[in-house]
Amino acid sequence: MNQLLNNYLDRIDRYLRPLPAAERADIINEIKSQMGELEASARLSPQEILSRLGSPKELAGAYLGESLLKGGSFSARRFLCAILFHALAGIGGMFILPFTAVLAGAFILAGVIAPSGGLIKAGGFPLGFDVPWVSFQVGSLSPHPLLAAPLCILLGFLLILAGKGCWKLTLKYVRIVSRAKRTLLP
Amino acid sequence: MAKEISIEEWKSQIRRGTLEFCILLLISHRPCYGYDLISRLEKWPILTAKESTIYPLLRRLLKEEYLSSFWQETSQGLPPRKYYTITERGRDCLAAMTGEWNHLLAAIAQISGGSDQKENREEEHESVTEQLS
Repeated sequence: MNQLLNNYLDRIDRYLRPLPAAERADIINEIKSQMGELEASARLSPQEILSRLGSPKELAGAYLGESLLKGGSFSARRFLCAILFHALAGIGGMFILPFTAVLAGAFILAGVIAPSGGLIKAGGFPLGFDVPWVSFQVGSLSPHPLLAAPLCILLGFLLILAGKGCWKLTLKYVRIVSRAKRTLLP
Repeated sequence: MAKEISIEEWKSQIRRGTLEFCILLLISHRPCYGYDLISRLEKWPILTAKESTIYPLLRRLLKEEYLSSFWQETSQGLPPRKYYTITERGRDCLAAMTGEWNHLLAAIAQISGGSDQKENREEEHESVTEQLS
């Protein structure tokens, strides 16, 4: 296959890194097949094929955007997808998307750590040991260790809620961007 | 700036709303590969869509199990083709879409006066202008 077309496929492959290897290979093979048909049946030159397919960013971005919208839950892979899609989608989101996506991850992580800490603190008290590296403070007050468990669970719940909210915001943003992208299509 | 409906924007909205329906319809007749679908849709300018629209859409329909796929070698020395076929779930969806589509067509026909009144339309128009004057 032509060097130009191979370079194009390599770039698509790099942009699709957040997708599983098998899916990526399938996508590349399908684009390769499309190139072959365009060359043989539509008699297009490699340059014409590339201008028809659009930039690697645009094509890879369309795949990432579609795969990002098909589910709704948070995972490391989807997080990567979001960042990459965003990087491909344009400058405007360079600020919004990493911000909401990172906040979503941070909130969810904190939401898991907080109740665990609270449980360690409260669990240690009746057993007669204090865990110095888990400290619990509300302003300048240090409430009773037994109170730590319910308060931390509540806090964790609120944090996870905030994380989910940020994730929803992220998806909403992607949806708006991909809709905007689609309106640009002929 | 005045908000007006641009006809191009409206056409692209229609295409977006009907592309899945058209793809399921085409695939329901016989298994299709991507290039085949794209070039068949190109016959109608309003349905013409780019690779970056069709392929991710096919992938989503596959993930949602409306379609299934298989790879097949070609005899003409071309790269293997990925064929799509419609699933049971896809057929159910297509039947529901066809029903809704017919409702929409009937509704538009009624709103615009219906096909049986086509020949009366000029008379109606005249009587309306008479009433107005």
